[in-house]
Amino acid sequence: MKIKMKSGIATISLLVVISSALLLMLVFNDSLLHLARENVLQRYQYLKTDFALPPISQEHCQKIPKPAMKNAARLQEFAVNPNDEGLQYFGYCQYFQLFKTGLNCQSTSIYDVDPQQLAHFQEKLARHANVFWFENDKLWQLERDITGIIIAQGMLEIQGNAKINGIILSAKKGNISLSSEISLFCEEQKLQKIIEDFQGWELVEKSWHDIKKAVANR
Amino acid sequence: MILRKPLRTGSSLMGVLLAITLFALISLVVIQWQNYQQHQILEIYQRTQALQIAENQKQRLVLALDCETAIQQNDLSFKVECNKATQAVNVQYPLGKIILKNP
Repeated sequence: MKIKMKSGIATISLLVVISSALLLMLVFNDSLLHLARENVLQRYQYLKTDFALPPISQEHCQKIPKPAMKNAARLQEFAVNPNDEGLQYFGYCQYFQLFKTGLNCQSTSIYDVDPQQLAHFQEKLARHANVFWFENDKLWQLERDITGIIIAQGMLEIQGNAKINGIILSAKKGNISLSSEISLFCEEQKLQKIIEDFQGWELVEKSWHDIKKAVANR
Repeated sequence: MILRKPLRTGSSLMGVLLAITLFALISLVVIQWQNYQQHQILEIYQRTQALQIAENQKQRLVLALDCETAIQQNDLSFKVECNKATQAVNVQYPLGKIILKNP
């Protein structure tokens, strides 16, 4: 009976040794897997933030109020981080303005175009329905009433029977002559709305960065 | 007189049965666990690749390029769906799916 007990204990202890070795191996594997899973999760999280942040940074600039002073900072750094998840993006917003501040219905004087600003708005100008830009000499036959700003860089002659709601500006060597049938009047509200279309904060191209740059003390 | 005690050449039947049962139980647990880990390994393997693909496709969207629709790599097939308007990217891999979209 004594020997029988002993042989049973030997079998069981052998099983215990085998199973604990196997369990140890599996637990070790499990911790490795856990690490790998964590890595994948982290990557997914990063990708999700990376997806969300660029559009937010685009909108960020539009929220900055208009600079109050004429010489207010034209460049602003911003940081976006929606959920405080460690990933941060930075960028610069620049204030663009095609028309000079203070342009109103009474302005008729020569308008100096800033070539840099003009280049920025070139695409928008071509699409905009309320701004008429004439680079060369032209004879313009008006057939319908128009609202907007007319800018002439060369000789511009406007003919026809129509009403113009807005202002006419001459740039560079622009010279404008109106035929007598055309009536010119100006509504301040509508004018300012058009002007506002051509000013605002925008994200500076290639200014996006995800590492905060050390700013030197000035 | 020499063989006074009978020689025991093995354990009793009950002992053997108990040992076999225990061994079977242990192997069952081990096999189950191993299967689970195998599945996890596969999942990680596929998901890592799918994430890489999703990142690439998103980059393509940023550059205003068309997305690829199906990608075959490492004997796995990935299905990609992109939405240019919402800038969303979905990548489907054999064991799951990755959905990336703007909030």
